[in-house]
Amino acid sequence: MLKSRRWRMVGLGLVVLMTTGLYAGIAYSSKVKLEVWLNDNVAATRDFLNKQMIPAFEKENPNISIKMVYINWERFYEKLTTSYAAGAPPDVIEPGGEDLGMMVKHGLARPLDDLLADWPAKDDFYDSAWETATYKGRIYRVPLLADVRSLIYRKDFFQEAGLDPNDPPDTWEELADYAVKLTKREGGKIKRAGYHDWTYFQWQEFFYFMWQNGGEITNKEMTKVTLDSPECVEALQFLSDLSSKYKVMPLGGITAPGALPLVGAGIAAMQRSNATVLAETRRYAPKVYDKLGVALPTKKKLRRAGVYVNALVIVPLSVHQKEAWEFIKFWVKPANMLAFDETLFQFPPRKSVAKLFVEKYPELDNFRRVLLEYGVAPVPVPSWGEMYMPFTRAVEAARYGKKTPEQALREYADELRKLLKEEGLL
Amino acid sequence: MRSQTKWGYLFILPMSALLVIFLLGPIIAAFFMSFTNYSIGIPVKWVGLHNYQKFLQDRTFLTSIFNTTYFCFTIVPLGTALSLALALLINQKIKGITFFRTIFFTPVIMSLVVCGLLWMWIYDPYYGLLNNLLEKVGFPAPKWLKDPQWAKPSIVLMTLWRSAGWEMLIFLAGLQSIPRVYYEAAEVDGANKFHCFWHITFPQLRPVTLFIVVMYCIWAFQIFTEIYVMTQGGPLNSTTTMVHQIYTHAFRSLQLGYATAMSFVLALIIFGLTALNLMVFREK
Repeated sequence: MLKSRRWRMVGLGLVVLMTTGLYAGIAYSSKVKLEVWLNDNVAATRDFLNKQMIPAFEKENPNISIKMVYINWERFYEKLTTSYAAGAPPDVIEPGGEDLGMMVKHGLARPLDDLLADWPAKDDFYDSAWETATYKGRIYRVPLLADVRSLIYRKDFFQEAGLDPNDPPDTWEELADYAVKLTKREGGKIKRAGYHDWTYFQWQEFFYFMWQNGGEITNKEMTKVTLDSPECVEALQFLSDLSSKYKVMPLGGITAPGALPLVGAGIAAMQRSNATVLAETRRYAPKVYDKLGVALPTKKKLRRAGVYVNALVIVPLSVHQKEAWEFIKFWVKPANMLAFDETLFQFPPRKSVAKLFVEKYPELDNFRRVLLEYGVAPVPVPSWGEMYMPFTRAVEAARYGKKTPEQALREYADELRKLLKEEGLL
Repeated sequence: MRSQTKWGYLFILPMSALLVIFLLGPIIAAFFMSFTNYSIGIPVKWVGLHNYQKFLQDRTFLTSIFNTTYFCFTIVPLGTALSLALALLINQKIKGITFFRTIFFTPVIMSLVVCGLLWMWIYDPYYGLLNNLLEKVGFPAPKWLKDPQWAKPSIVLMTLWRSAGWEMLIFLAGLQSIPRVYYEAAEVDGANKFHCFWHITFPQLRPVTLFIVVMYCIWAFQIFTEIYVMTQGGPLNSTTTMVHQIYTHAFRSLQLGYATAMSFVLALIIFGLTALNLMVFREK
């Protein structure tokens, strides 16, 4: 009898356990689980999001739980493709600035005009930031950070070469002249590049000089390809000349050992880059940080530099569109945006936040000026996914002397015309 | 007997089901996908042979076919010869031979990504070990992975270093299975080491050599990780391979239909090459 009673108690205990577990499961599953993918992240970003922002959001919204997935740019589209194929895409993603046309073409972003219409914070964002989020008159994403590019240089190297450290180059001619004076050689090899490009992103280097010469890959409506215009050819010629004629950097570039950027490591005297260069120099070589200067971009016909606004997108297949919007609004609140962008040392695309950012980091004021006065975003060509690597190769072909800049751009422009014709744009 | 057959089929049923669901099914689906404009997020449209016609005009894909063939025709003979040479060297009963077998095999067990990163630094024109050594002895130091002329040979060298150990073990097993009596008889007849190798060892290793050549060919045609880690297909598309192009079109350009068409072209090439190898190495 005792044995049977014991077994009855065990059975009852199991039933209670299972019932509790069932109720807990029902309670948990009644919460909306929002999956968010973030490309731009470092350890400090993850700390801020995991320990501060997400718990604060979940406290304010107890019916929503956030699953933040930290990925990197190289794997982003691979993961997105497989998640779509599996029928389990995320709810919110953070794609790159130049991908807008491609995202709209592939149905990866939904228009937000209906949500933005009643959002008072919309006016606090820079118009140039909204422009990068707009495709054919509709806004598809909410700007999160502005990856602003400009010329970063070493003031101490300028002094060493007899140049005024407070007077960085203003024109292409000055850039070449300064770069020649700043280049150091040892045994026939360049030991310090006078100017070093961002080797992996050849197309961005070309865009930088193309925009400064008044060129563009297509017109704004993408109905005419202008990549083979004399302005673009001249820009690619200048970029090629930096390594072949002026010999201020080796073809293929110099790899920075470790995490220090090129100017921070002293491998280059000048480079075109974003504020991450300063953040990484401050982290890994703090004594060099004060020797860095941020110049306005150079000019030929115009003073221009690229602005790549990374933004938050609500995935059309998400079944939690309303919750996704709530999370995005929370993320871009001034305090949260400031803290987030600070971890990455990237410029906030909101005016009120940018003001606070520059007050804290006055050395970044020139990035603010680029964003306001000189920033250009790439035309959101829908076939960007198909074109950016062949485009990079076309620029490489000119730089390696395999084709003239005119040949390289003309051949590529013809391919771009075919692509845009297939899109129904030409 | 019938009952035994029934049980046999029952036992292979789970594995067969897995093969059909996870291998055959996706292959058939991919075949149909290759005739569409399949991409994520947009409606699928039948495009017939458009994808197969497109790659004939795709200069980058045609370059990748050339590069892949280059890798195959360099890695396969060099790798086979190198692994056979290593196997002959370590097929000796001397003290410490286990140590040498271990160090030759160690690169095989290293992650391909780690090998790629390691060799990227070895090849670095400024900080790399290789150029430092070459400059010390007064030889010219090329830019290796950053030079379109040298990028492919650089990949070949790294691949040989990594893979030779595996084939060496297979050759070693083959060498140790050759009956000793043949060598004893040859010694009695006055044959030297070269005669023994050419008339006994090499013919006896024919099935093993066939296996290694076929595996090397299949593997050479599927080179991807090294390219993805070390060069991303550059400089100037000098190292892009067919698998790298398939990956780029599928996961960067989101042209999944076109990428699957390329995959079938690759599969056909590998089938053809395997059939050719089997014909060449067929026992007469």
